[in-house]
Amino acid sequence: MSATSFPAEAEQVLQPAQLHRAVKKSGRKRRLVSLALFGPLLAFVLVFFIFPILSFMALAFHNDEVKTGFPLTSQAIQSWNGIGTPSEQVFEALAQDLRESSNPEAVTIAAARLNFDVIGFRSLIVSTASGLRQAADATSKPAQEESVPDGFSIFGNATAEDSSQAAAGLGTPKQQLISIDPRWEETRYWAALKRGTWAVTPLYILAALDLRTADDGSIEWASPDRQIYLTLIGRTFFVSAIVTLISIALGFPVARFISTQPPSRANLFMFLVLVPLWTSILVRTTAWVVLLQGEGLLNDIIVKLGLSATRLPLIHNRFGVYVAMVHICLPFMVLPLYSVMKSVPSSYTRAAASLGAAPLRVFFKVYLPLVFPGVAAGALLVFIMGLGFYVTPALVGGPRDQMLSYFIAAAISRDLNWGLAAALSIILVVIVIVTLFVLRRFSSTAFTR
Amino acid sequence: MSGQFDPFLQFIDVQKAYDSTTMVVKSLNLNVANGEFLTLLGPSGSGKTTTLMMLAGFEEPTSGEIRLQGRSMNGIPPHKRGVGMVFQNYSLFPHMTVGENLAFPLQARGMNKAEQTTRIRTALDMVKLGAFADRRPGQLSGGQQQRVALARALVFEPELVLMDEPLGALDKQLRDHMQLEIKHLHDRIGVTVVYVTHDQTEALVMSDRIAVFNEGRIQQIAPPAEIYQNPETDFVAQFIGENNRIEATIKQVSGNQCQLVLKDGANVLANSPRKAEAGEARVLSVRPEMIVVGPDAHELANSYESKVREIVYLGDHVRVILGFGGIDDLSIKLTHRRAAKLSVGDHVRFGWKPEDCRAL
Amino acid sequence: MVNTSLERASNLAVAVVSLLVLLFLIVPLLVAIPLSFNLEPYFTYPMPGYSLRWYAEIFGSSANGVAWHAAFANSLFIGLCACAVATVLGTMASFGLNREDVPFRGLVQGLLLSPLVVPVVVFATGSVYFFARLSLVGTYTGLIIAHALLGVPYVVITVTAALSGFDNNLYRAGVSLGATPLSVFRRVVLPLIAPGVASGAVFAFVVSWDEIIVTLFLAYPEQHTVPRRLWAGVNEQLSPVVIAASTILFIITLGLLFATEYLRRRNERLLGSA
Repeated sequence: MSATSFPAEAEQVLQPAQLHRAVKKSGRKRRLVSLALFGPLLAFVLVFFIFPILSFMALAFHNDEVKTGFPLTSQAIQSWNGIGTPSEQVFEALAQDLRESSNPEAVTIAAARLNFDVIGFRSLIVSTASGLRQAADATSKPAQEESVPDGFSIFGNATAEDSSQAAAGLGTPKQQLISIDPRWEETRYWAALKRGTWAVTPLYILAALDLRTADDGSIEWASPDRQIYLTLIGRTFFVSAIVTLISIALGFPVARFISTQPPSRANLFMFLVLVPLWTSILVRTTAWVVLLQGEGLLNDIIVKLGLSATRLPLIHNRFGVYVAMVHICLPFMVLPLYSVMKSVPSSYTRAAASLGAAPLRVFFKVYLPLVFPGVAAGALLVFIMGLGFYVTPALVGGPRDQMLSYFIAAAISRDLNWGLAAALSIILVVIVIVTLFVLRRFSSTAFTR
Repeated sequence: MSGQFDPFLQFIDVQKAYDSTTMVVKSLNLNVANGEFLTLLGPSGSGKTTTLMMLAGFEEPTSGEIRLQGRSMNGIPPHKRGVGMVFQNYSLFPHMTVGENLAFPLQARGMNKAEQTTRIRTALDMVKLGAFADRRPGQLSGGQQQRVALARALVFEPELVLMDEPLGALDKQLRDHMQLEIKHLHDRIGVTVVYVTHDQTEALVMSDRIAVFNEGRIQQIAPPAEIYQNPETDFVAQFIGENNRIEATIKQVSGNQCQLVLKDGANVLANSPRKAEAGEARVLSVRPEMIVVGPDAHELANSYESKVREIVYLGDHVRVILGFGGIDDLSIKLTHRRAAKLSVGDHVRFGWKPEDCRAL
Repeated sequence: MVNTSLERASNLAVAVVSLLVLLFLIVPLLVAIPLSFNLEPYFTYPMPGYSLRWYAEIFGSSANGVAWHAAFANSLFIGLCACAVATVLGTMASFGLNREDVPFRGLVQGLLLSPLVVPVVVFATGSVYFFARLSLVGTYTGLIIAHALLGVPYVVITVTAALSGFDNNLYRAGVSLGATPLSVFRRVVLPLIAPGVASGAVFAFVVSWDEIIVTLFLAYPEQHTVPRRLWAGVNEQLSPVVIAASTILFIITLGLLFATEYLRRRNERLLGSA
């Protein structure tokens, strides 16, 4: 056997740049394989989940209804400085847009959009459009009307003639429109119209926060009858928080209890926790409806035991929402708590006790800090779930118990107001993400402390 | 042994880096002969496992080439290399029986059922587990699992078998036993083995040659006795076996022997494995068992006197600790009989031959 | 000895509270079941008599029964397809993310798990808006895609957990023995992580099987699923038929839960007590 067989001095060492390139090259192939594996799902999620949500959310800033419905007005109003009423050309353009629109549906959509900004705008446009139409009829039809000498028709014609006086050129377009509806003299309608031509609109986000843009461009509170969304956001937050707290209060002893049981019994108890988790939310909510309704089982028992003379309202109110939501969320609290508690060796608490700490002290100074990450994880899970609840409040809650999700759905299916739905969605998702980051920081520092 | 023209296995200027700043394996050149048992020995992070992984094909060299039987292995995926491998944690497929585990490589090679059966039986008999074909790995002891892993790596008769700390998970007694068993197996079937370990005893017991790795380089590659008796670097002397390490300066050189001065002024004659020059700083290496104690030491070229600081009883031998040459823990290994007359505080004469001492 | 008696009292209190809470979790699911056997269409105990008439209505050939059949068939079809899509893509992705160097691993993982975090209503409305442009609203494809997306995080989580317990040296051993990577995947990796994949798949199926919100938005009016009929039933007129259907749903869920638990235990037993 030969001894050393390597020329130790004749090393060919790679230059740093070469080395860098060689390392990168060998890593590239691996990265490509990884990418080939997770790429399809990533693309799937990006295309069918992230992109739809983002493009839907962008609708909150979408602002082309007015530009499409009133193309001439939108152009003309750019020169208006926002004080008083705009110039004749703008009135002229508006009259023309209303009279000669090739796309009446776009006008309707624009009217709805403007009406969301200033209530009454829709009726203003409808009345103006019909006024203009009548005026146009009056000027184009006199020949026909003369050929039909009919008293009724003359009478009808007379009223049309009244308004057509303006249309026939007795006044400027401005006078004409104001004579049809005097609201055209008010600045706020024109200001709303001009806001409707902005590239993007803050309208929906502001509305979702009970705010609006004032005519001078500043931001002010919405009119009191439209201030509903801050209360709604607060309610969503509050209900989730209460459900989270109840879940902690109920979940903690359960998880603690199961974690102290021998394995076979612990498995059985965990099974009892898992069964509801796996059961359809609808099935569970149905069960609660059966139990809680006026003629329901719980009321039967209450009346029979004489706890109350009358049947109590247990459903279609906040109580029912809390009960059903806690029932759905509780397993998500017990699971992380249990897995953390199971991993805390009893030797820690025994060690603390052997060092002379009183039971309460052991609990608060040793056990609680050790299982805190479980509490944080469970709370995070439950709270985020709670924020998005829709089915349960819709089925067991009353009108005053509905949460953000319900209003998002309603904005679309009832009001066809995509902008508002998008704005409410943005707010909901922002709350979720902020919660996620705050609570995650909270739970991760628990480990390091 | 190594045919100069066509070594069985060859590493040519192999380098490996995971990022552009740290080189894990630095310019490795190594030839392995057919049928050789080569051990790559070194501390963790020395590059020995990375070298093995490049050989198995789980890592690509950043530059350089590995040749097996004259064929370049660059770019050849692991499953086409035909190299057997035994892992530290056995890595038996837990959902298959022992027999199915052994059949796995044979099926991958499209072997027919009858031949599979014969091969599996031979391989299991070889590791003395003939009766265990229907058991699952979970039902076997650690030692048995390791034997199955061996049998599985050998059953398809590869030319080369790689072993990555295969005995690391076993307790000491079993490990000693398995060392010999693997050695005998190797002697019997003559397969080439590249074996990675950080355990020097394992390396000394089993290997034809040992390559000592440190910081991505081979420090020395030689048969076990050579490595132990004639370490070429301070690291090798320190890593393998017990060693007394004393700083010294070269005073005079004559041939491969030189005279050195220690910090306390004592003079020592020692061998130097490489060219020495006066004034050079070196580290003396003396094995504890090479130091003679008592009157016999008078006749040695290196002979000194010092006070016994401590006597440690270690069962099969006794360790005597002295202060000498600027260190206060010169360790001497003695039999019970020789140590019986000594007690702490005694002045004793001790010494060693120049050829038992190396200036590194 | 004050301590121990105090401790015992507190342990007892914890036990009592826990059992009450467990009852709270389980009893509501069970009390409704007998009502589905009620002779009369009321929801009160004691029941005047027992009958299978509500089940007969679901399984029978009346108009209502036919609608229930269609709903079950739809739910099953959509659920199986969504489960297949989510399981295949999710398992692949988990493997990709489990490899050594993955660029932007945290971000990718976050994106893949995002369907778990984003409130379903937001996704439902977003998908209506987007799917309408692809003419996917009211189609099976649209529902399957949406349901698969909601199931994906569960598959990724369970398979990732299974892979984290998988010893990568087994894969290396497989290829070192001469099997191709694909064959090692099929014969070694997949059998060992099968319980993780299976429970991920069951989760994905159950998510679709129970899904109501996206379905409400995306399905066309006649495209009924079981949850959608339940929704209508609870919203309009609660009938024992709804309870009967709930019971069937509950039993199927229970069956799936038992099946995965059985699979898990069988696998554990097969791997021995290593």
